[in-house]
Amino acid sequence: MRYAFGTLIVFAALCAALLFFFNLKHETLSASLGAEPATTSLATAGPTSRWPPDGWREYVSTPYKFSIFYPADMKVSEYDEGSGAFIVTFENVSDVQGFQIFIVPYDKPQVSPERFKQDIPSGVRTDMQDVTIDGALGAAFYSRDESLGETREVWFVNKGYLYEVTTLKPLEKDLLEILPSWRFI
Amino acid sequence: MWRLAEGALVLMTSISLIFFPFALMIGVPVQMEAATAKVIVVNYQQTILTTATTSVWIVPDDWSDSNNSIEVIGAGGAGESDPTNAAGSAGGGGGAYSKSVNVDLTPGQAVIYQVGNGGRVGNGGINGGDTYFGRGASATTTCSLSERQKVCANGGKGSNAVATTTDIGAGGQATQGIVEANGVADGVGSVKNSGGDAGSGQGVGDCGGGGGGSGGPNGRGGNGGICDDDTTDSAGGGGGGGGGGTSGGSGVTSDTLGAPGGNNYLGSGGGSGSATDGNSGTNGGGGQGGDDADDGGHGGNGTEWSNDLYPVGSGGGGGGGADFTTTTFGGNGGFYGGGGGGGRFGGRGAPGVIIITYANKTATTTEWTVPSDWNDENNKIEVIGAGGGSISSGGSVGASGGGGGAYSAVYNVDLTPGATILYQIGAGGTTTGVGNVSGSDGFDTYFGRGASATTTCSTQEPQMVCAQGGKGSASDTVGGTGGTAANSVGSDKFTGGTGGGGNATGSNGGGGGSAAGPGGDGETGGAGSPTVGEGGGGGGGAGGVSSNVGLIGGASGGNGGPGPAGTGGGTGGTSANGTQGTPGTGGGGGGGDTLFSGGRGGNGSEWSYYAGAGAGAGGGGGGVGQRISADNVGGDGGLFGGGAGGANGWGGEGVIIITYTPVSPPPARKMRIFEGFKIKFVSGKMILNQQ
Repeated sequence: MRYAFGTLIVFAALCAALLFFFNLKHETLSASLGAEPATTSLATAGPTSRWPPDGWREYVSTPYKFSIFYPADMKVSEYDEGSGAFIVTFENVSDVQGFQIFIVPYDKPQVSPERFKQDIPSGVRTDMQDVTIDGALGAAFYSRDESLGETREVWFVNKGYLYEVTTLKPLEKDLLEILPSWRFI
Repeated sequence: MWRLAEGALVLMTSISLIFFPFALMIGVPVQMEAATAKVIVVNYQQTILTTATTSVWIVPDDWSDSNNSIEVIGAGGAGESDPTNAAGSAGGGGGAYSKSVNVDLTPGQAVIYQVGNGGRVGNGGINGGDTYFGRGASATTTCSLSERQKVCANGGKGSNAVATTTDIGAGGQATQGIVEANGVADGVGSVKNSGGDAGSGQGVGDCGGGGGGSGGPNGRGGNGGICDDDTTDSAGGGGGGGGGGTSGGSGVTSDTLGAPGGNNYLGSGGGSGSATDGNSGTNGGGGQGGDDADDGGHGGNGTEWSNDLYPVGSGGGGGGGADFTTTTFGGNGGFYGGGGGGGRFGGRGAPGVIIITYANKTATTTEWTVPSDWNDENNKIEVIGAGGGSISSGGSVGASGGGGGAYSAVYNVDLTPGATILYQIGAGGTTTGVGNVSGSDGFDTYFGRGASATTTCSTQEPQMVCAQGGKGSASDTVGGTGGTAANSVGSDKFTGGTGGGGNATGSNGGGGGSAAGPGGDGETGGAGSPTVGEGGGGGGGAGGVSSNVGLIGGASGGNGGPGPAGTGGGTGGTSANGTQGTPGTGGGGGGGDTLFSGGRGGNGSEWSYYAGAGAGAGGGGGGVGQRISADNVGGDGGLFGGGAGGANGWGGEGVIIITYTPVSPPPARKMRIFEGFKIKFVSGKMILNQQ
């Protein structure tokens, strides 16, 4: 399920990132996808003007203002968590592939220690790197979840929402291929 | 600041800011749309006396007559024993609860008190002792209407009953409780609640009734339950819940469990569910009755107060034991004041307790934790600085009043849930000594400052919101100025009233300036009369639309100015003390006539408080008439922020009011990916196993 478009750009410039997310250097995950042929979208949201490549689909969330391409063999499940929070999972159980996106209303420019502790009670956060996702500054790091074990986390804030993208640490490579397709709409 | 006393009992004096009284989160709903949450933060000291003894308590130097409460719970009675296995046995009654507010005491005074001893088990259950605070040296040691204590609560009765329905332990009776009349006058309200009555035993079932719960600040104690009258499978009655709780259950013939204990005032805590010895109650809940041939559970300890080491409150009653063919015990009463359950050996009653709470005269920086439902888009934080004290008494010239505290408010403050915010409640200005000793300034009240920033209102290191305290009077003839809007920090700001000037010729005191409030500036205190043999000035009415100044003293003391609603100013005395500004109106205290004292400023009521009372900007105290001795004093400033009348008065404390429309806090993240699967690694390959 390789997805070759997009490039992973590491920010050398640290200055802007120092003002954001845990004061660490930037790593840019954003990539220019260009105009590509449209293919599919979920019924819950309308398609964007871009097209995913063969073997991929586009997930679009109008309420949460983003779209992302994902491998077509993944099953998408949505969960309304209440109070404006939302989770969408992308899973291929047989191949043990997948990731989830947790979205919660958030009006602060940075992730507070209290919010971090609320979502990751273990407090584990290692190998922090600053990243940008379609222009939104964020942070990538490793953590640990009671049920999943070691995880790869990419968190970013944009226009009143905090996005927490999570996968298993062994699956991080796949996630880093998918994330460059992220677009805020 | 506390020290351990004998056993597990503690004499504790904590100097800490508390959310008084115990639950100032008034009306905080879980899901909020239109409702609002209000937090009123004040600064109190609290002493809790738990040692069952008769002793003396020395009134501290910073005692506040105008802002205190004394609460007492009588001890629980013991349950009856039935060692001959001839019949059942009843439980003991719970102790009663009484509360007095604004009790007048003198710093350094030795006040005799008694914490009632819990009823012991004997030939018949022993009564719990009465708990009282303040009695004459030779007066009776039980609650007495003829030899009044400042406050007294009746102990629960021990049971002398077996299978009969007479002589069953009755709960301590509220009607025998004593409260200080002054409490009623203040309008905060004095409260008396009876302890719960015990449940009866049963001869056929050979089992014990539950003990009664003690009365508490939230209501009467729950009654103990009756045991099950069954020869083959008896079940003890459950203990009653502590003050405001429910009655314990009665045994049921067909049931294999002892009856459940009553819940506490919050609807929880009753012991239940055990098929053997009864489970003990928690947080003031009653103990479960024992099942056939089993012991009753103990009553739970109450939690309405805290002494920093453990919660303190009204206790639940102990559960009754069942089937006395074996050695079964009734449960002991919960601390404090719970009655013991009946048994082959009855349970003990718990001792009483005394809780003394009064305004703190020391301003300290404390932290407030932002609640999880904080709303950045809809909140308001209001503060009132403390009132200034007045110059000391005993001089031969006039005595001016202290200034009132300023008011300041700010809107839609951006705070992070879980974060801690530094704040300070301004302590009221005081005065010490005799002669021309200046009254001290009231402290500023602020919310939100930098960790190393100044603790006074500052535009260089601005707090989120800050209100300046009123100045103490340092002159015979010139009153202390009120805290100013200019020196405060916030969006809406008003200036406190200036204290009235004393008069050197007439030797009469000026009234205190009042606090500013949300409706406007505070009002000036009236000046003392220039004529010897006449009266002091009245205190100003708390700032608001229809408030007004205190009147100048004349042939009588000057009337206090009306509060924000145009009412409530105290009346100047005529050959008498000036009367207090009406509680809840913010009216100024009336000035005293010649050789009489000024009245206290009335407390405000702009914000809802508890038990139907209010909090708001306080009126200034009235001035003394002819200042010649320490016995003639000006009135203290009203709550909150009222300036003191001259002479020797204390300023009212500051306050913080936090109001917001709660939002449902965003939930914590859940892990939905691969939910329902267990992740395993086999030969280095990751696989999912369905759980």
